[in-house]
Order: sequence, then C-alpha cells, then structure tokens
Amino acid sequence: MILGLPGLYFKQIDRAGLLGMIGFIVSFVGFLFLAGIQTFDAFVSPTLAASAATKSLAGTGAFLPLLAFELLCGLLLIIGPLLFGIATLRAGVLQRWAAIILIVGSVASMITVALHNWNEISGAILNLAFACFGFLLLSKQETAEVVSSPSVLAFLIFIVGVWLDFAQFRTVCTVTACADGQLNLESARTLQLLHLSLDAYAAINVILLLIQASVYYGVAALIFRQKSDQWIGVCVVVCFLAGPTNSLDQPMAALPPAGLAVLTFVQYLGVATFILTCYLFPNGRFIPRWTLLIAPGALVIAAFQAFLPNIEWPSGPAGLNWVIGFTTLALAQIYRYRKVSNIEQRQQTKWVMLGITAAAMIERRRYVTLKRSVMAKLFSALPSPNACCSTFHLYGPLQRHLKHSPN
Amino acid sequence: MSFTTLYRFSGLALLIGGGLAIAGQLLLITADPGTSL
Repeated sequence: MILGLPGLYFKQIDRAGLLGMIGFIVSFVGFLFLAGIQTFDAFVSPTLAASAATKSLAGTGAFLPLLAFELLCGLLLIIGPLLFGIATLRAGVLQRWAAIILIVGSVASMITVALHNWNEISGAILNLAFACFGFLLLSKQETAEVVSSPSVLAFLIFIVGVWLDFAQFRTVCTVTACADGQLNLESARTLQLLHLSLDAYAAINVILLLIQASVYYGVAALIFRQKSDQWIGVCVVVCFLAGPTNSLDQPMAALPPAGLAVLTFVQYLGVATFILTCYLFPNGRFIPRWTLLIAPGALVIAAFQAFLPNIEWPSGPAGLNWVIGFTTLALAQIYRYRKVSNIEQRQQTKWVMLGITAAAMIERRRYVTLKRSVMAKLFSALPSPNACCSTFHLYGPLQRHLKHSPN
Repeated sequence: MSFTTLYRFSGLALLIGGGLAIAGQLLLITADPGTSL
C-alpha cells in the first residue's frame, strides 16, 4: 500500500493543494509506522510469547514507548486519510465516491477510537477506499464510473454476508430446516470427536467462500483491465462482481428489509448482466436484431423473479419461459457463429463454450462448490466415513481420521 | 519511468495491498464474532 500512495498523490498533485500534500505525507508516515508495528506483531511478539519468561512482554502494550508509537500511528492513519480524502474530493481528478469512502472510513475510525471500541471494520472501510483508488488508477474513467457503484455495493454486501455466514456456521441448528452446511446436533458431536471447534468449522467455510470470491474478483479485474472500453466487458465485470453474493442467501435472511433489498438488487444486477452478456457476446451488439426485443423481455421476467419471489407462476408458462430463453439464445449464437463472427470471435466463442462445458462437468461431479457440496457432503455423511471419502478429495488428513474413527 | 507506468504501478500496489488488508481484516473479524459496528 505504501508503494501505491505516491502515484495516487502525483495523479492529482496540481489540484490537491496544500491539504492534499499534508494528507499524503501524514498518511505515508502513518503507513510506514504501521509497517514497523506489524513487523513487531508478526515476528517479535510470537517469539516473546513462546517463552514463559518473556510472555508478559509479547504485546505492544508492555512497552510504554511502543504503545505511544502505536497510538501516534493510529492518529496519523485517521487524520492523514481524512485530509487526503477531503483534498481528493475537492480536486475532482479521481471519482468522488472513492474519496467519500475514505472520509467515511476515517470518521468511523475516529468515532470507534473516541468510544474506546476500536474494531477492524472501520479499518476495512479505509482499506476498501485505497483499493478503490487503485482500481481507478488502473481503469479508464468513463467505464469506471459505470462499474464503480455496483462493484462497491456488491463488495460491501458481500462483506456483511461473510460476517453473517460465519455467525450461522458457528451456530448449531436445532430445528429441522437447517441452512446448507450448518451443523445439526449429531454432526456437531461428530465434529467434537474430530477435535474441531465450531469456530474452526465456520472459519474453514468462510475461508473457502473468500477463495471462491477472490477468483470471481480476480477474473473481473482481469477482464476490466483488458476490455473496460467495451460495454460487454462492463457487463461481464458486474456479473462477476455480483456472483459471490449468490451463495449468501441463507445467512443474509437475517438482514433487515432494507439490507435484503440491497442484496436482491445486487443479485439482480448479476443476473441481468449475465443475460445481456449472453446476448451481446462476442462483439457487443444485438445480433440478429430480433434479440433486441427478446433481451428486454428476459430482463423484465428476471426482475419479477428477483423482486417478487413469492409469486407462484403456473408451471406451464414458467417452463416455456426457460425453453424460449435458451432456444433463442442458442439460435442467436449459432447464427452469429456461422454468419457474422470473424475467425477471432469464433475462437472466443469456442473458448467460452469449452469453459461452460467444463464448468457444467465440474458442477456435475461436485468438485467446484466446495462450500455447498463438499463441506455439506462431508458433514452429512459423517456417520458413514467411507461414503464421505469416496467423493471427498481435498482434506487428506481429515479423510484418514474419518476412516479410522469409530462410527 | 513515465507517469502512466507510475500510475499503473501505484494502482496495482493499492489494489493488491488494499485487497490483502481487507482479507486479513475479514479474517480477524470472523475470528472475533463479538465485533460490532
């Protein structure tokens, strides 16, 4: 992060003024101090904590100068980003929403410090702002403006979802209708036999979710980098950014109505951009032209399904909707491939078809959805370890333990 | 080094640094479910 700050300041040096310079210097020094503190935490503290004689010296609070240093660092990392955010907002060189996130993070940090209730959430907001600035420095301005709002929204709702997901996984389900992968009394007891805590089980699930999401975000960043000047690129990026929220329906049910509305909106964005991508791929135009009539219809139907989930559609029209949707899409792509696409676009179509086929096969074999299928399968199959291990290839030590543990 | 290269390098550093920091903080938050806003 320290390495990126100078470029961020130089990008707006002519417009940021004295406030921007002070904000930059204070933030830069704050991050340098932070690097020192984190080095102590990462390498010195564990060594001190390992010995009974030096255990009391392990925390930074044990040394008064170090504690003062830490407090100064915290102060710099609140004031610096606040000043820098205000200067960025006034300069207007980079998108203002990122500056607003930075200011919100700084103010949130200030409040948590004032209330003696420091937590990582306000720090995460600050880091989100810096990550957004990085994204803006790498991207082109016009499309960045379009992608920015949904991407920030999707990311924030994902963070909330991860938090709720963790809470759900570390709770033992005592009713018949449990969430996917949530432990019931029997599987919780088996977990105990394996010497695994509920927290460890929940952490494993959350880590898998984060890995899955980082793949989505990585692909989105890559596509944005290459194709951000095309609308189809923007559609694909938004689709991938919204993707990770799809697996968070169950924990997010605990959200208030406003939160659920935001989640539904983000998920709908994902579906809508997926539909548009299917009709626009590979050249970003509606070909044949009649798809221009079909696509809006598909978007409207998807909106009904997303925002009015309680409506019961008669099975006939509902099935017909899917048949018509997939048939028109397939016909349109075949027409494109045969009549319109050049050699390069045909190759792109082949790659995408290969990817879809591979994903379908992987999904069929249940390797890809680690959280929903593998973890759930493990714990639902625990009473019968052999059945579990025939499909479970990723946790070798756990498999061996299961095979040798009594039922 | 041109300014374009500097901006690209900075962008990448901020994106990766910020992303990693958020991931670390998420793990800390999940490790302490008592975290409140």
